[in-house]
Amino acid sequence: MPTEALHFNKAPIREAIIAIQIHDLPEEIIKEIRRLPEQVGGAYPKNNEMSLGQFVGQISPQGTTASASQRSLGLQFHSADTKQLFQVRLNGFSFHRLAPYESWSPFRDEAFKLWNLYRQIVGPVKTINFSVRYINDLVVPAPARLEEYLQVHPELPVGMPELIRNYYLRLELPLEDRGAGEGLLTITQTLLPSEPGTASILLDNLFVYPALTVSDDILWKRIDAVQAVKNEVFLAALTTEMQKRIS
Amino acid sequence: MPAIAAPSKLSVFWGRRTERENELIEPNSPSRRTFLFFRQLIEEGNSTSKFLEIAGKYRELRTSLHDCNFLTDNWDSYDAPKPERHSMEMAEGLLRKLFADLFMANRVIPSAEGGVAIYFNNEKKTAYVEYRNSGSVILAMYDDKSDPIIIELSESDDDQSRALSLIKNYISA
Repeated sequence: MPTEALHFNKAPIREAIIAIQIHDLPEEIIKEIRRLPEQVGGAYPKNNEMSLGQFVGQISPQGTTASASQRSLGLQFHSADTKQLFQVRLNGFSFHRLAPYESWSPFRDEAFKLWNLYRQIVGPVKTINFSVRYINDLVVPAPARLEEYLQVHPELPVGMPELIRNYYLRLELPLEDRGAGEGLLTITQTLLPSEPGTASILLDNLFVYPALTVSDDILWKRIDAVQAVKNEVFLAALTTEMQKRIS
Repeated sequence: MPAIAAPSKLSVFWGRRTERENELIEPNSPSRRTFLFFRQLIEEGNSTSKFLEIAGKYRELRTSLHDCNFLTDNWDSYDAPKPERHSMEMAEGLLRKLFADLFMANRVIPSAEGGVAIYFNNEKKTAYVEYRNSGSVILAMYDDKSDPIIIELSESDDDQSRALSLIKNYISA
């Protein structure tokens, strides 16, 4: 049964990401990846090479040695308006939608289309895991009490200063299997740069699921199942007042 | 779902392969295995957000702008006046607009003419908006192949949006 779409008129989503990690492909596949710009066409006119640099230093009684190496990892493509980008790498794929975010369907469909292009180019892959990530920027009046807007927040005991200049909260929560498999939710909160009289709260929900060598069909069915989970987690994180503010 | 140990046992730092791994989740639960499997991958995933990269840059540029407060006249030893508060407020406004649009500059530097300049670069092109203490606003865009484009703007909100649009088109083209 399709998941009911969750929509807010003033959605605070600043970036949504679908990422799939795979076992490292052979280095020579990079040549195939470099052919991708011809196939992607006008929707993603800009691309840049991604590389991985490594520096190794060793200090021992026999002396000191240092070495450096760099290797191509893949390509990153941008849409003309820079609101959409995707990465094709030897170790995986990711699709990023920056604000304004419309809804799950076009986001997921674009990611699916680009994944298929990637698969055509690189051939068989062994998947390791996939993730769905929503990065939100919740703007609230300041000063105010966090608990008026967030259901998950730090609590300070009586006797401590009441004003928070900044905070960093990170929770790692195991997820039960609800169609996407067992996974792990990482919730991160901190304060972002904000306009005077307001506070911008980062609410970063990362859903990661193992997917060891599964077929594309199963992989995307499981990715689709995350939609309901991420909606539920997002709603549960906000108070009614915060939901009203973004409606 | 697995039981979670008492809060007093929660470790603040989880090193790799330490005994502390056992403290959070029941040793034999599927969730624990999932957790161990994913720890490093989650760390990798955290570094891939474009938005967080832009937010980090925005924070850095605001700090650079704030640092201009500490300059005094003749800060460059060539009689440059210190940036005035008004120029810095205008620059801060443009940075806010850039962040809202998820497009970020590369540098904020004081101007030798007196004021503040916000620079944008890609591999081949440079653009900057300079807010001068005199109240004039200069937009310049140049590369090593064609004549520079210099446009004088006002401090209005409309001109700020225009500057942003021109720079985006120039740098992204």
